[in-house]
Amino acid sequence: MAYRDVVAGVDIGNSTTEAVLMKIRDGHCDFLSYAMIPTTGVKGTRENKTGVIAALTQGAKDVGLNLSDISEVLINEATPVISELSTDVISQTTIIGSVMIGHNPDTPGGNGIGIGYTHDVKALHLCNHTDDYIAVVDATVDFEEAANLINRAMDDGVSVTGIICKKDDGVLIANRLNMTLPIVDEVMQIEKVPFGKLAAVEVASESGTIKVLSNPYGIAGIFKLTPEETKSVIPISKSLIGLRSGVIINNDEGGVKTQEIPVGNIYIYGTGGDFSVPVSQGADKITEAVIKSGDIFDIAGEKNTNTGNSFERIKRRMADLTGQMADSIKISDLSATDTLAPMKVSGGLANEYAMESVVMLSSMVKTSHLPMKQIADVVTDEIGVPVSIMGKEADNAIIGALTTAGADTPLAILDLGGGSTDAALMDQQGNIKSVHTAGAGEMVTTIIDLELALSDRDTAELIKRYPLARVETFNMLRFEDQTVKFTKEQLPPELYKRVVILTEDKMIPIRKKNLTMEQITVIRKEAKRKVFVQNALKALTKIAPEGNLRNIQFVVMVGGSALDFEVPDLINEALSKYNIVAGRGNVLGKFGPRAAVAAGLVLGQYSKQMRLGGESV
Amino acid sequence: MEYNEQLIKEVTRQVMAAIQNAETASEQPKPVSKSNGKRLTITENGDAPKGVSPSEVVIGLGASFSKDMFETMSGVSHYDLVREIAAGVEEEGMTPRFIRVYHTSDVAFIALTAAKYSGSGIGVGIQSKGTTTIHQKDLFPLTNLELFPQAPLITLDIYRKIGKNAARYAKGQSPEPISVMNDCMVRPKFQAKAALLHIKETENVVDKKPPVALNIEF
Repeated sequence: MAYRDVVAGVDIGNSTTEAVLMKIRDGHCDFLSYAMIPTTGVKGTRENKTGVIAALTQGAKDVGLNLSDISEVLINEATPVISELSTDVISQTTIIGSVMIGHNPDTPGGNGIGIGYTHDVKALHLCNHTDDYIAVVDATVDFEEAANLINRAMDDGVSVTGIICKKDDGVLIANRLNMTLPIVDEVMQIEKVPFGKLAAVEVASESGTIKVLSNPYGIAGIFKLTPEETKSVIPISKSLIGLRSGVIINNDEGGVKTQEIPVGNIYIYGTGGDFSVPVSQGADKITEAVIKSGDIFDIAGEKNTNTGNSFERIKRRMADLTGQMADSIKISDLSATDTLAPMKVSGGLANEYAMESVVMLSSMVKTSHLPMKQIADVVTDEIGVPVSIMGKEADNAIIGALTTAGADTPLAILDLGGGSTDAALMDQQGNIKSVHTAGAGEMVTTIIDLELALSDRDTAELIKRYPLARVETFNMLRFEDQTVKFTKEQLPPELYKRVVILTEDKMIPIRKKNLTMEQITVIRKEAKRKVFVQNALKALTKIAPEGNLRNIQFVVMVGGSALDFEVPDLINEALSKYNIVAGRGNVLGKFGPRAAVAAGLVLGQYSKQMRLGGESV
Repeated sequence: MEYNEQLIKEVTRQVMAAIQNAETASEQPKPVSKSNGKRLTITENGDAPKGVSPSEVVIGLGASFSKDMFETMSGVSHYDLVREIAAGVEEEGMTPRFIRVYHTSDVAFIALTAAKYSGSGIGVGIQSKGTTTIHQKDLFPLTNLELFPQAPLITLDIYRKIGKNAARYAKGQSPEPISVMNDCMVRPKFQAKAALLHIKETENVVDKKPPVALNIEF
């Protein structure tokens, strides 16, 4: 057979499986073909087989070979990163009894603040002439009727100071009143508003936010609270901050409280010692502990807490996938990110959501050699070609990255993938030091999905990948940097006035909510910064000589996320503070940042120039 | 993956539960009819001027609207329809202005004419049988911003939402398109009636007659 010397390198990543075929001759590796396929199953499990074979088949077909022409397959040691991110809510607002309405209806009516006793609008004529009243308008009362009833009552000498209504009628009622009153509308569960209780209604003018009800002392002044009672309304005022309208009803039985959910502690066991961090302290403290703990043996969470359960889930899931005992699964890295998630306020009357703080955890699982062996064995069985497992991803990535024109040792690389961000450093003798950290592209998608409250991962993924524009008129686009482009053809009407995602061949409108381009851009960039920049700095610090980033001069970025339109810039921006220059790799002079690991696998094994010194696995 | 009857039943049950949950969660209070058999008092007030105010939404009515037809195919009285559409525009802080379009009975052209007369460039066209379109002045006639083609399914609360969305487009916002029901039986059931109503409206069309300004009293 003429092709006894065709070797394939296969890189199983979280999102993609890449294969590179090379022909080996006298210690030279000649490139044959490259193929990329979406990874099948969770990285590091038997299900990867299908993707591996598909990638090999495609790679072989491209150069007119059969699978049987391949003499050897080398695969990387695929460390699974569980991308099922556990989000731990730190705070949660719960309203007990009906006491507060705080929301942002698009169009509340009037403005100002009104204080009085809640009263049914249909029975205003029964009111006395000494007290002030807040009119409650349910769904059976039309906006015109409501306005007439209130106008008539006021003419009769009843003092109405504010209105709460169920339908979206705020402006309509305001326009029909003889005076300006604050009106909060779209209160879905208005039936729960008790009558005869002292209440305060506040509406801010356009683009303003309420000032009195979002201040605990403001509330105390209205309801004449004692200092002790004032303390108890802090959660109420906190949840009203930043809103355009709000209602507080003084219901003796009720109260709002922000519950601190016991999220529990994270226990980290490493060479640097054992650490225990309460999740409620936030991502920075967790990251700090992860760095301090050195090489991590295992991470666990406190039993019977959200955190404990989520680590248990990760281990059990991995055990199920690989057929190992749950006890033998260890977590080797953890990436924590602070983020905000919209959570429904339980007990609210207007379907209120509060942005609650959440810590997002992404864990990397250390598995034994066993599952990789399983993958190798099933692939061998299927295609009849010997498969061997060769070393860590980062080690191979650095060899692949070295094929970039102009790159030479000492060299540091960042491998920005879907599940993990890896860093490696090769010195002049060829010794490699590498780290593998959890959290990359998929975590960014999750943060975007969560913070924009999309509940739509596909859209979140598109937002992550592509820049945005806004369709201003039928032939004018405004881009993120405010530049404008006029199109020759009329744009389709369904894009009119919408924020669109600019993919290579089409524009996809974001229909969800009234999100502005600026809001989305800020959240997208922030998500990338939180994950990639933070992880890049953490990983590079671990491999830097003497643990000092300034001892690194050049960094080559490889991996799928290095193709992102802004991640390399964001990383460069952060690294430039340490005088580090980072550039995108160009593996084998033609694949850009892709294929580094797959190419590195073959080159590391068969190329004379590339042969590793020092500790290679 | 194995499919068996039990699995399919379970999936169906969960999907149904999710749909019902979503329905109860998003249940909006419905507007109530105020007409009590009352009809609109419409007086024509000469040729409609082209608007200049960016805060107006022009609503174009068909040639028979409240003249020899008084309710839509969904049984919504024109009185309620006009009141809700106007309320929707007003709730968004904009001003509605009504015109009658005489030269055509085609909903797309009625709406486009309204848009061209609107200071904001956004217009709504309503046929007497209830079919409605939101249009923008620079669009080709047979495109639109939002189209509500199945008149028998358009309820009063949808007319309120049409008014709101038209006003939001006029303000330069990106409103979420209104979700409408779609019933494939509407065509066979109502086609004959729709054709008759359309012919009736077309009989009132006056070729080349410019749109007329309307005063509407409730």
